Amino acid sequence: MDKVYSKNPDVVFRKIADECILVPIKNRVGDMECIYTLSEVAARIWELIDGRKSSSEINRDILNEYDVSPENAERDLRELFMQLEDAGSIRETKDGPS
Amino acid sequence: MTVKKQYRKPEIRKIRLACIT
Repeated sequence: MDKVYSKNPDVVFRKIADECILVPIKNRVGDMECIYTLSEVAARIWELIDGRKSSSEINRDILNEYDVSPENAERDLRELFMQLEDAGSIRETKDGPS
Repeated sequence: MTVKKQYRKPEIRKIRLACIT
């Protein structure tokens, strides 16, 4: 699971009222077809993605901050990374130490 | 000891913004 992800610079994060949203900015606004909203924990994970932290380090941060079992946290984190990758919001930069 | 926050499964939701007449 020890991968490192970086954010796509063509996606910006904005917090509007209580909603955390990801907005693709590559195309013109008129061509924009969708945006993404993040739940509270997903937004926290987004903040932790910096292109340097490995997924296991991010997982450890989440375990320190939230009341969750290691198994659930790891499974949910893996799912979220896949969804963010599918959305084009993050990309894997390299494998972590083996 | 730090009180941990309540955990909810992290979720991402797609909102579609956008067909002659």
